[in-house]
Amino acid sequence: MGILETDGVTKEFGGLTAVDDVNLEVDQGEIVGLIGPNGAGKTTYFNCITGFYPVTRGTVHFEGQDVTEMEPWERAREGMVRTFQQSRTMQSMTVKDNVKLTALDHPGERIVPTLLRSDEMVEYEQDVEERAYELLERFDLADQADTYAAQLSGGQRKLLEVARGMMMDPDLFLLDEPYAGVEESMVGRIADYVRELNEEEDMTFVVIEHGLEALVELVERLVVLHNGAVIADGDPHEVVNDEQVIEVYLGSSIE
Amino acid sequence: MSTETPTVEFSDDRLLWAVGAVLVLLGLAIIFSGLEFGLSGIILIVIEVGIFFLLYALLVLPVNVQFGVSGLVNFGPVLWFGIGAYATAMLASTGSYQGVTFGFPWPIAVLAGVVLAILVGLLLGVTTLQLRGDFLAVVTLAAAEILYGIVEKVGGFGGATGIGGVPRIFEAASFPMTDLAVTFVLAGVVVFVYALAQRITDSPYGRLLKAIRSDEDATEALGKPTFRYKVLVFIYGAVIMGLAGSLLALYNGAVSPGFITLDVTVLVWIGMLIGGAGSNRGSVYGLAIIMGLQLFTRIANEAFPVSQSQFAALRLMIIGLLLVLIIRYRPSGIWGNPEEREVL
Repeated sequence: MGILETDGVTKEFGGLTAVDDVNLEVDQGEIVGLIGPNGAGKTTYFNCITGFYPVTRGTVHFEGQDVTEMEPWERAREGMVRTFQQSRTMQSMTVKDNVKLTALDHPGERIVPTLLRSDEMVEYEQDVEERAYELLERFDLADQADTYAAQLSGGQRKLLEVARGMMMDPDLFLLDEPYAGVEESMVGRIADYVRELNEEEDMTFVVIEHGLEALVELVERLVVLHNGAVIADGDPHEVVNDEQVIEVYLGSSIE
Repeated sequence: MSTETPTVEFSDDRLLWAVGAVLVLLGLAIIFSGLEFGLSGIILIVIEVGIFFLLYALLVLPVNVQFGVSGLVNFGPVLWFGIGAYATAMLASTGSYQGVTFGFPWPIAVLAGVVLAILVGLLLGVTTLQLRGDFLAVVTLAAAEILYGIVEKVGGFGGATGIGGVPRIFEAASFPMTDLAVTFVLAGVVVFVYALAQRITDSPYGRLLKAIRSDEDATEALGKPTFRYKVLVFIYGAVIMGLAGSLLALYNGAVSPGFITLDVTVLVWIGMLIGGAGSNRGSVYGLAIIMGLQLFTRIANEAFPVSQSQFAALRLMIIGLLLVLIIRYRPSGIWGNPEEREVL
């Protein structure tokens, strides 16, 4: 049983089928690339997995549990964390607060401990602060701890999204175009972090990119979406040489 | 690890609680001692405007937590103020010239006012907080206007005269002493509410609310039930604003539609924007600036031979000019933090 399983996931917007009967099983510890040309339905599919869009048909299982009806925040708490295509760091908050925000089950997010400033709340906040600094060190953001996220570079914002997600200790990380808007020098570093987290913590990744070659070096398995449907799934080197995939990327008809 | 983790510290607010307590006790001392001394006309005007400043401060603080901190556009603070005021007045009044009254003990009337404010907050919150922000603005604004229409036109609410005969629980030896005592008590309550607002803002709770303001979907993706928090923030606001309305009724001994006009909402919003949305202190100071202008024109009016309406018009011009200057040169408000302003 995979960590993530989608069975017949379909998303229709009126007459448009954005995601068409996608069956995908991702195993614990895998790094799976999800590619496809613009408009192939990659982000829509992510939104179905994470609950931001209700599916029209199909089911999503995460760690053996049917999460199809769960709210996005419930799925996140189960250990399914995502990033966004356009980085969604909180621009009006400091880098440190972006990370601390993500701590789960904080007594300080309940009104009574907040108003009473309970010891439990203050101690938890200290723990959160320490964990936040560890993560910021790890992702090389500690020097920016007190700057506002709006001042980070594109690449740093992507790293911050990952650092912030790590605060929840996720089992599955869904990265939506981690290289988009990222300075050239950072692309390699982001890939290194993904590999490191995968090797050291056995974290599972599903990574979206639209470029055909972008993920070949990073992932062990590549899935290609076209018009909402899976047209290839397998070894990255084989997939990028697949005739149908090449045709899709060159824009000619596959009929 | 190269950097040392700072120790988490929350600002020490013991002084605030002490000051609040002293103010309330001073007010109660004036009431129960039967103290009496003369106050000049100008001082009385200052106190009268001051009382409304303090009542509106109990509106601007929740509105700041709702809008400034959490990004929820509540254009109807006067709705909850009005619910608290009318519910308390009608339930506690022992006999009004017009309108339906019940003559319950005033603590029950206050409680009922707050509960009703919560229920309305819950109803509006649950039905509209899932919609886009501007819908919330329209709904809250409309709801406040509907309440105004109901109390003015529907029988039982006392029409334009309103509800009288409400027990004046702050009554001291004389009318000026009552006003003085109320000023102290309300100032104490405002300090308490400010301290509570600060505790919310300056905590993990406030961090979560700011995250919702900044990017609700991303916050939800980080495992936070954002909708629940938005409803809760609406309810906390309802409690304080409803309580402010109750205090108005119990101080004034009467309520009428004139107390719950759109002007109150406008005043509160302008005060917050001038002072700095997102800053509890700034919103109260901003409100003080606006009401200070009101006070100034009232006092100056006695010295100059122009009509009151001309002065009122002049005051609006000054407020308008101030707003233009703030928006042009300091869009985050005088005490606001420019880096925490949301740029869409």
